[in-house]
Amino acid sequence: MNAIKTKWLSHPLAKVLLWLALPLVVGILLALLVPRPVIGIVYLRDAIDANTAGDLDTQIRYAYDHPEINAVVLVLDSPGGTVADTESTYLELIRLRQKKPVVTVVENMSASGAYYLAVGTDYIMVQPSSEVGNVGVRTTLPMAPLVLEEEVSTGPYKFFGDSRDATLRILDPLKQGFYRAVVLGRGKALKATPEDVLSGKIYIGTEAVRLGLADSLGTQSDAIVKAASMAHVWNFAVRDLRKPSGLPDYFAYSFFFETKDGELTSYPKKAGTYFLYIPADDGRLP
Amino acid sequence: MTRLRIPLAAALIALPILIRTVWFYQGYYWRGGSIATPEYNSFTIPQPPLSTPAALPEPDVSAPGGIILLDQSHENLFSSSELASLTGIIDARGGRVENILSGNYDERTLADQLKYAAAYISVCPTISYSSGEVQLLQEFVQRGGRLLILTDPTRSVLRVDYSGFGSAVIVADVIAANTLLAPFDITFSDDYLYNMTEYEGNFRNVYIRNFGDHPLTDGLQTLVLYAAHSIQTQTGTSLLLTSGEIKSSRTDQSGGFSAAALDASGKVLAIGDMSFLQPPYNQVADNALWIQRIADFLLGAERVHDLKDFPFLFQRPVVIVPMSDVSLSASLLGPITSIQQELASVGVVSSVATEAADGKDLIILGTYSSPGITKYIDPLGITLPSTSVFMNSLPMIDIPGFGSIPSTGIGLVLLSRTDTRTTLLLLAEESYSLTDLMSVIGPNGFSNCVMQGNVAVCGLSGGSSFGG
Repeated sequence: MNAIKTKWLSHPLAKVLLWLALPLVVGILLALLVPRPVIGIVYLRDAIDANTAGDLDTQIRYAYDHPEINAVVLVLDSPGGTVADTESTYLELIRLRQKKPVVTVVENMSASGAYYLAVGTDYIMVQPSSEVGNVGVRTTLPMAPLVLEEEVSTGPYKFFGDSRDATLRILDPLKQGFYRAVVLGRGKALKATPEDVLSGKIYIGTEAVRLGLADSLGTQSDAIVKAASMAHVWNFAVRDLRKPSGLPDYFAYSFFFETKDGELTSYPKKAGTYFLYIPADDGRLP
Repeated sequence: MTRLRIPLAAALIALPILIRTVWFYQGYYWRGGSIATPEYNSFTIPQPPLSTPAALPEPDVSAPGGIILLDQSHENLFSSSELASLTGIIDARGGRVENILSGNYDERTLADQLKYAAAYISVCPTISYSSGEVQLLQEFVQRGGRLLILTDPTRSVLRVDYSGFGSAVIVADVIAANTLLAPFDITFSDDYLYNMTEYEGNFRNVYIRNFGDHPLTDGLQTLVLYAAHSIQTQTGTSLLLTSGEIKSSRTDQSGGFSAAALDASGKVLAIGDMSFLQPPYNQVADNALWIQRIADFLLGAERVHDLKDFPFLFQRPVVIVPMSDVSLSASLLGPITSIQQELASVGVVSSVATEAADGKDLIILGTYSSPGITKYIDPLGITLPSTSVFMNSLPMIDIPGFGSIPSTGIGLVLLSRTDTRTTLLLLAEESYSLTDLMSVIGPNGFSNCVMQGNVAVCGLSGGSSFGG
């Protein structure tokens, strides 16, 4: 038996197999351990609030923690939303960008808080007629303080949060933070004047590119290619990060005010301070 | 050969790895340095530049007071408490604010109230002024009254069409205000002023540092208006002038706006903001001083009263003097009492006497032939019928502006003024006709009279019997 083995091993073909094919097979097997790069897709097609921002943050952290995700494309179609949730997601995006490139592609709209998120990414693509911008803050002033017979509190602003004047003044530092995020995010690309940016105007995609509020026109496919290019990968896979990050199927949260007829308005359900664009509607009251 | 086998094997192992790596990766993503984020801690909440109360002049309580009418009859979008900073100063200066209510809440008419008012304030009206109201207010201004019209961009009204699709229309407050201001060549723009680079807490709160030359703006250095309409006037005086980067929302262009204006007569003041009157904004910059100036403006009215303003013609106690040919019959005592009551209702003390008294105003009851009546009539250029004419032909009275008119069946109400006295004359053909004449200046307010300046020619019901 040993004689046969020795004889086979001494055969020239066996030597070839041993020293060429076997290492190659091992190499191929080991090569399979080299992960195929993945471009993660994160969608925001709703207003930003605790629910949607929480979902975004989960996906962003997943991308951060998983090395096979080489770049992320943030797909935006949102009028913005709550202030703190927007800032939180913005900072999560900045953290992710330290490791991996993030490209934004705007579908219909990236307004207000959604644009805040966009400037937290490396590159912004828009459609020619996307609505982009609306930098600024809006709030509803509380009513003048009053005391009630049946509802009591321990301080004059317990019911109202703050005075009307103070509430108005709070907008300014929020606006400054937003503006700085735009300046830092857009860098030298920004051609718009501070007043253009802070006016709260909505720009169509082509104009946004001209003003440096966005980088180029492009589709989601273009954004994926761009993200891959920035991550220096090709032959990549594309993966919606919602499921891998353990989130359930998308559920539409009730951010907007709904009329008694079941019609969804553009107004948030709760009064408050928002990075939010409320389009001029047909005059119907919320 | 044996020595080559190991490197070859190693190369063969590495090759697929390399190929796959190159297949997927062209390089390594590396970001130099950290990504800057906004310096959130450095952004602070702006605080208003509060004024120093000590810098304000003391209220001049010796200044004459006056009644200031506050319009609430045009669905005005404000509450009285919002004007407290202004009305408080008016009170401190001896003035009094009286509301003009709408509908059945107030029996008095605007015309009645304008008789005695020093000034009229309208704040954010949303119902247009009728031509009659505009005319009354024009006459009020011509007779020395003052108007203050305040609007505010934040006080537009949302009107909903419930009959159709429930669509809402925003109606600006300037529309109604402009119907009143049109005769005075002042127009509020349906806009608001803003400044994106320098503002007080919010872009719509603008600093005003240029002022038109007028006593109203004396001593003002900086005002802050909290959302203001711009105002146009061709013949008047622009008072609060914009500068720098203050823009109008209508054009998004800067330059040449004013947020307050006076008409050419200097008696109509329009201001495109009312928020500056409310705490805490009334204490910002020189706003408190500006509010004092407005109060001074309102109380500085020098009303010129004419007959229509009865019983608000008198500033002193009144002596009612029947001339010697007028007997105080029972029929005359009633009307005299009525006149005294009317005077008392506006705070004027009156008494009946046989002659005028120094330091008091005068109401004279006489006939065309009363002895000594000419000393009151002549300065007015009126010629009464003489006895000779009376006997031979139809008696006539010559009145400047009226010409010669038959004296039969008419009475005259005449007003004359000197620095020391206001005199009201009631003259009729006969003593008994005075009863009728006195009734026409009562509650019906010259309803049967033709008036021209300080002369009223009134038809008397008993007059047709002359010669019969």
